[in-house]
This record gives sequence, C-alpha cells and structure tokens, in this order.
Amino acid sequence: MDPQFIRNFCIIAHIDHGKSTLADRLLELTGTLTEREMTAQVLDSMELERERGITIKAKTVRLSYKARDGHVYRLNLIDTPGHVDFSYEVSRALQACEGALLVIDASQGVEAQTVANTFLASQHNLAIVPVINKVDLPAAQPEQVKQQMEAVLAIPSEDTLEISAKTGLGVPEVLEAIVRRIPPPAGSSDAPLQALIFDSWFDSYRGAIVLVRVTQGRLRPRMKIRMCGVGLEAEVEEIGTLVPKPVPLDELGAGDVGYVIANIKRVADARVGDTIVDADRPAPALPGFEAIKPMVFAGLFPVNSSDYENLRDALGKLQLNDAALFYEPENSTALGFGFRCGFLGLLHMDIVQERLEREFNLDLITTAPSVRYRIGRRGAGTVEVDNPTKFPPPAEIERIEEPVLRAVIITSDESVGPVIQLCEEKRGVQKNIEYLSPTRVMLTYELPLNEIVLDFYDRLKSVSRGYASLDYQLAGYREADLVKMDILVGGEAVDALTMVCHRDQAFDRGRELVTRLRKLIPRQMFEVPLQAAIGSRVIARENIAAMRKNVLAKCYGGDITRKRKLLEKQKEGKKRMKRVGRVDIPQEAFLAVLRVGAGEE
Amino acid sequence: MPSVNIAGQNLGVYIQVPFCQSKCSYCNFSTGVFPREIFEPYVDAVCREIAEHEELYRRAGLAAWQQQPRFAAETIYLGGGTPSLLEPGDLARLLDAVRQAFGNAAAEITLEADPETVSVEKARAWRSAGFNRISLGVQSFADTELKAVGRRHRRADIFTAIERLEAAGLGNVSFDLIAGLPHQTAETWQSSLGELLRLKPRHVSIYLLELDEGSRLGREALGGGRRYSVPALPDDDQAASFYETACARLAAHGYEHYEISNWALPGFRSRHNLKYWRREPYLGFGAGAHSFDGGERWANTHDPVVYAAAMLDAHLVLDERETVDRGQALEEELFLGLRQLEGIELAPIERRYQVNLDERVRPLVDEGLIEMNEGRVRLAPSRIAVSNEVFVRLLD
Repeated sequence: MDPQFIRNFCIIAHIDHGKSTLADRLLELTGTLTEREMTAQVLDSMELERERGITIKAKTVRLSYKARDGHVYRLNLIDTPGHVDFSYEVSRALQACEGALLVIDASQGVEAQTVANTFLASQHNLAIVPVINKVDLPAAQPEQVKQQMEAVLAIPSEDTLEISAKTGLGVPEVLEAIVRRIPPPAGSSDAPLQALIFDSWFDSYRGAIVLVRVTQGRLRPRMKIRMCGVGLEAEVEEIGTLVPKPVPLDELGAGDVGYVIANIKRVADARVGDTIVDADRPAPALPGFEAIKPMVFAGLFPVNSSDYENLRDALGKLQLNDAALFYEPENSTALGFGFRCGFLGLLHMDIVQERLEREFNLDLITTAPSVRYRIGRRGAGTVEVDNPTKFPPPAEIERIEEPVLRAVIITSDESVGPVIQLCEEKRGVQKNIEYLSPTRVMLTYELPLNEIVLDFYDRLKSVSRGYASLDYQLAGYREADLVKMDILVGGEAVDALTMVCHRDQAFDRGRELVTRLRKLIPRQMFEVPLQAAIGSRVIARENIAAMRKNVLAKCYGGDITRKRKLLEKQKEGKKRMKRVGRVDIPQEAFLAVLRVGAGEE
Repeated sequence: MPSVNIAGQNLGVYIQVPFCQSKCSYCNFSTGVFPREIFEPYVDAVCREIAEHEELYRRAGLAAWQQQPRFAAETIYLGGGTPSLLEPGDLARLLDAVRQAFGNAAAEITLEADPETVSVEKARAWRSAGFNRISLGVQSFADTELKAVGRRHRRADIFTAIERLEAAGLGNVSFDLIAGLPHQTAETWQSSLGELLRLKPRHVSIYLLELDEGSRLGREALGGGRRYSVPALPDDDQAASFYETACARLAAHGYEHYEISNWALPGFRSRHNLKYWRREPYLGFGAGAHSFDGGERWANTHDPVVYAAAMLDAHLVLDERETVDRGQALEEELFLGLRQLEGIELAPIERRYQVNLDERVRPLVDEGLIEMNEGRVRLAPSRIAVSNEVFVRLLD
C-alpha cells in the first residue's frame, strides 16, 4: 500500500481516562470488529493476556477506514503500556508512530501521566491529537480542562476534540483527525530493510513473536534477517498483521506495522528497540537501542530451602518471556540460597514475585528493594553496587552516587503542603511548582530512586487522600552522603537486613528498625541484643528479653494427641523461621525494612 | 503397627463427667452446663460403655478388645467437668461398673471435686463408695481472682471442704492452683501458696493459665478485647515468676516436684497421672474421654447427648482415633518422659526403638537445656517453665 494512506498512531492517557474504551469504539466504527466479535475478542485477548502475563507491552491492531475524502486508509493503532516501569518500551512504541491521540478525562483534567506522556510524544515529534473524553458526564468541565491543556501542555484549545467514547459522541471526528492531522510515514519500500522492534512475546509453539514497524524496505517470508543489536540471524517464517487476530501476509512494506515469526527461541534475542535488517543487504541500525537496565534489585529466597531449584526453573521460564528480568544466584547467611533479581521498577518486581508465587507455587521471602549505586573507591576506580551487603568498607569509599528521578506530581492545593513535606523527607529537591488551576498544583521534584522504591507511592496516595498522581523518569546520578547500615541480631550481622540510607536519616531509621524487630522477633531461650550499626559504631540498640514461659501445664484426662499437635505446630512455626546464629527470625522481620521510614503505622 | 500386648499391665481407668454448674472463663475443655435430668441417663450410658467395652471396641474396630487376659484396673479417676455434682449413688454405680469389668484391685480411686460441692453427707458417701483420693479444684485463695474467672466457690468454702473431707476420712487430698489468673499479683500468689502450705495437702498441681482459642478468656485476650478481666491478666513473665516461686516454696516444705505441674509429699504421687507420662495404658469412658492401649489413641465424642444416644444403640462415636507410629511413639517417650523431673533412662528407649539418640540429645545438653548423668537425662531445672522449647527440639 502507498504509505500516504497509512497512519501509525498510539493513544496516550492517564490511567482510567478512557483509553481502552476509545480503542474499542474505533475498532467498532471502522468495522474491524462487529459488536458480537468484540465480546468474543475481548475474551480471547484476556486468555492471551493471562498466558502472556506482563509481557503484553504493546498491542497493535490494523483498522481500515474510509475517510470523508473517499480514500481508504490503513490505520495502525499501537497500544502502549501504562506504567512508568516500562517507559523504555513506551518510547519504542512512540518511535513506531507518527502521531498520538492524547486522551484526557473531562472531569479529572491533566494528570501526572498526561504531562509525562505528552512530553514523551513531543520528544518523538509526534503529531498530537488532543481529545477530551467523557464530556457526557455531569461533572465534565471541558472548558477548564482546555485551559489546563493550554497552560501546562501548550496545546491550543481550538485543536481539542470533545468526545464520549462510551456513547460514541464525537468519535467519527477522531478518525478524521487521525487521517488529516497525523502525517503519513516517510521512507521508501525500495531502500534496504530497517524495521524497529517495539514488542515481542514468547509463544511456546512458535517462539518469539515480534512486532515491528518497517521504517524502510520490505519484509517478506523466507528472508534472512539480522537483529542488529543482538547480532542474531534468522529466517522469516511468517509475517502478518493483527486485525486483531493474526492474518499472514506476503509482505510488510515501508511505513507498515505487523508481526514477524522467525523461529527465535527467546524474547531476549528479539529485544524491544532493536532493528531488524536484511542479512544480505544490511542497512544501518536505527538509533535508540538500549540494553535493558534493571533499576530495582531485590533478593528472592525460597522459604523452604528445598525449593531453590524450583525457583531457578521458574525464573528461567519467566525470563523466556521477559527479557527485562535479570537474575543471578545469591547466597545469604540469613536466608540461604536464592537469587539477586533486577527489575525495571516496583510494578515489574511485584508482578514477577506474584507470578512466582501464584503460577509456580513458590513461597518466597523478598528482601527490601535496592538500587544500583556508583561508588568511587580511593585509588581503585568506580564500582556499581546493587546489593547493600556488597558495599566496600567505609574507609575505601571516596564518593557515592545514587540514581535520581525527575518526578512530576499533580495534586490538590489542600494536599500540597503534606506532599511537599513528604518529598522533603524523602530527600527531594524541588525543581518547579506550578498552579494548573486554582485548585491543582503540579510539583516537579528530583527524588532519589532509593526513597521511591520503599513506600513513596503509597504514602503519596495517603497524604493526598488518593488525589495525587505521579510520573517519573530516570534523571541520572547524584552524589549523596549515604551509609550502609548493618543490623546485628544476637551480635551477628544479618545480611538480609542491611540497608543503605542517608547519613542524616541513619539514626532515626536504625532506631525504628530495631524497635520494629524487637516486636517481630519472638523471645528466645536467651537474651538477644538487636543493634543498628554503621561500620563498627552502634547507633541504636534494643534487647529481646529471654523467654520465660512456654510450658504445657495440664493434661486433660490423658489427651496426649493434643499435646503432640501443639508441639508439632510450634515446630512448624520454627521451621518457617530463618536461623541466624542461634536466633530464629520470622519472615515478617525481613519485611520490616520495607516499612522503615514509613512513619507511624 | 504390630499389635501391642499390654495384657497383664495395670490399667488406668478414666471416667469423664462433662457437667458443670457454670463454665469458668478460662476453661478450654469440652464441658458444659446441662440440666440435672440428663445426669442419670448419662451415668447409665457410661455404665453400659464400661460393662460392654469389649464388644463396643470390637465393633469400632479397636484392637483393645482383644486383650487377654483382661485388663485389671490399678487406678480409677473421675474427672470433669465437675464429677462431684453427680449424686453419690450415681458415683457408686460407676465405681461398681468398673470393679465388675476390671476387678477389685484398684489402689488409687480419685474424685475431682469443687469446694462448694462438698457436703458432709456427700463426703461420707464418697468414702463409702470407695474413693480414697480427692482432687480439689481450689485454683486460688483470693476471692477477687475466683470471682473474675467465674468460679462458684470462695476462699471460705475451701476450708469448709477440707474439714468435711477429713472428717469423712478423705484426708488424701490434692489441690489445684492456677498461676496467671486475672488480678493475680505477686502478693496474692504468695498468700495463696501460704494458705495451701498451712493446709498441707498430700499432693499439689499447679497449672499455668493457657490462653488459647478454646476458652472465652483466651479468645478475648487473643482478640485484644477487655471482657473477662483481660486487662487484669498478669503477663507471661509474671506468671513464670509465680511458677518459680511455687517451685521454691513447695520444695522448702518437703514436696517432691515429680512432674512439671505436680508436687507430692513422699509416697503420694498420683499413680493415675503418671500413667500418661509413662505411656502405660488407660481406658477412658464417657463423653470426650481419651484412651490409649499402648498402640492406639482414641477419644469418644465430646457431646454427651450424642454419646448417650450412641450408647443406647450400643456403638461408639469417636472424635479422634490415631495409631501412634514408631516415630511418634519415640517422640512421646521423650517429651512425655521428660515431663517427669527425675528424667528418663536413654538406653532402654534406644534398645526398644533401635535408635541412637545421642545426636538428638547432645546439642540440648551442650546448650544447657537438659542434663545428662550416667545415661539418665532430665530437664535442666531452670528450663522447666520453657520446656516446650526443649520438647520441640526433640521432635524429629
């Protein structure tokens, strides 16, 4: 097809502003799916979604639209993931488009994700079609939202469409705007092949299924292709388009979007952001391919040490479909054998953890999430350390840098005080504060990632009574006066409780942590001192007094079974604990670190 | 499981009387308040169970029915509940039934009694029925404590009961005390112990209050509530101190601490209770009664109505039934055996179970939890109050 009749676009929106409803409506209006098929389709895709889990990073569907100018256009709708953890995947999906529908809820207005997404879209030079959704609702305030959009996003009011994706009001104009305002793709089908990978997932029968945007050239079955970044070569088995079920094609030309199956065994070999070229006539790779960099790290340990091999297998299986998941064996004196895992962010970590527990039936202890520090060592260069226990001794450390984020927070004017207080407490540096309207404030902060990974989002929601929205992106490294704090239980450092924090916070956090641990660790047969220490200096101390009473007194008429069961239950309880030195530590104690700095409960 | 031959061993007979006038707040036992009309039919049912136990066991598939020669009862124990609530005539009928089935030789025949139920006439009747030992539910000498947990007797009733029992020739009395009751303090506990030592019963049982889901008080305390005097409960450390104080004072007055919860003047250890710790056989009759024939443990349904109805129909309804396997039996030898503070000989156990216990026992000796002396091991005296920690370590 002549590229001038192709439009590649995505929909960007804050969560719950109506992105998927609008997508459904577009499918229906273009006759891609009938109403009956839509129901069936939704079911199918949920099935698929379950199978594919989190690696549904972007979905794509081809729509066929007869515009008012009489021409039939091919509209490729590329869906983008809705979470900051997957911001690199978002950027690659945007790279595959020429335009974006920006959807904003008529009563909610501009939110943090709206700002972040618009910023990203402009960075990629996308034509933006602004859409105010849900104008049919009584609380809709489209005029005020337009003002916000002008003020914050520099989007002229007259460009903005007002629609209701639910009722269908204004949706035909959206289709027209896509055709008129979004430019057709450039690039010639006769040039050597260059195709951007913007998603891939694993199918147990066919291997990696790779979604591409052909920038120039053509993709055909039986072609020999090469993944530039990874260096792997493969033969194309099948190409096609998703409407939204897969339909094989003979060719994908310049400007088009579709899938490629080429007997690729692992998604790690078809990485998002990589370029597919013709192995016999290689064009240069497209810019912007980045190796996946985990941002958040945590140790995953089986509760039962006998599950170690099962955990290894499970991680291997997840990684087949999740190239962003990183893991390597880790040995903890407290928790035994497990894995140090790297994740794109907290959501990614949660999802992996949940899948391991639910799909693989594993019982896990996860250590407090950490970030990757850059440590300048005296006369020994710089090392990157993502595990607090691997910190060099204090005397060897010249400087420490930590990853920082640029965070956009939009909140109500009543909660702006507490939100600022929270950001300050979390060592944030204010970069900007702006009133979007008399009642809405946008704050921009530079915040250390290690403060975010603990409980920042939950607390933000709580201090703003659920109002605040948050979006962030990595903004580089910043030097900070950080220290490693060890926790000693019964005189022995418990590696899984080691944490890194700012020197000024160390005293409070140390005190808080040992106080929490005193409540969580049951009394033992002897007194157990709990200490927080920086190097050899103890900064906080508590004592767990020796247990004095655990005895079964009465024997009711010879009920020995009950006695045995009680002992067996106590034994089970002990088995679930981890032993450090002579002290049995329950799992909850290892989670206590997660809550340090959360203030009063 | 190989069939166990316990024939010829001396048997303990336990009879459960699950009736109370009111339910104490700390009670986690399956007893209850029932109308007096059910007492007599219940006793009928128990008499039938005793008389026909072989046939009942055979129908229930219990191996115990095959014992030949028949069991001979060495001890009889009527527990509850409050067995002293029954008419003396009913109690006599129960003892007669036992004698009929298990011979005349029982040396120790105990009746549990609550102080307020002891009348002059009843005491005499108990004596003439054959009881020779009374286990008196004293629990405390402080009225505030008795009241708070819903006991029906008061301090004064204890003295009256003792007088009446002695007058009737029932001088062999055991006192129960509970450490850890609401409102108990170091002072009230010392004073309860003082009163007990002045009365000098032959035998003393001291129980540490257990707070679990099985009792009203336990549920309330675990759920963070304030009813049943929960806020007045002493904490674990205080309760442990009470227990330790009792150990010291009873020892100073000539009592032998022979089991975790039990003390006796020389010659007055409870032969019946020792059977539980020594894994000797006992047969329990009545609703909720537990039995052990050396290989199998079982318990009758705890519901007296269900129980009595089943007896009319001449069959047993069991709540629990368990064959103790070899590993469990070995564990029982250890954790039951070590409850006896004189300890146990390891060599006979190792021979019987063909195991070497050194690996299990040695670390505990090294940690000072148990003491070993020429093949005999016992709980370290300072660890008695935390003995569960030791027992758990002995489980496989």
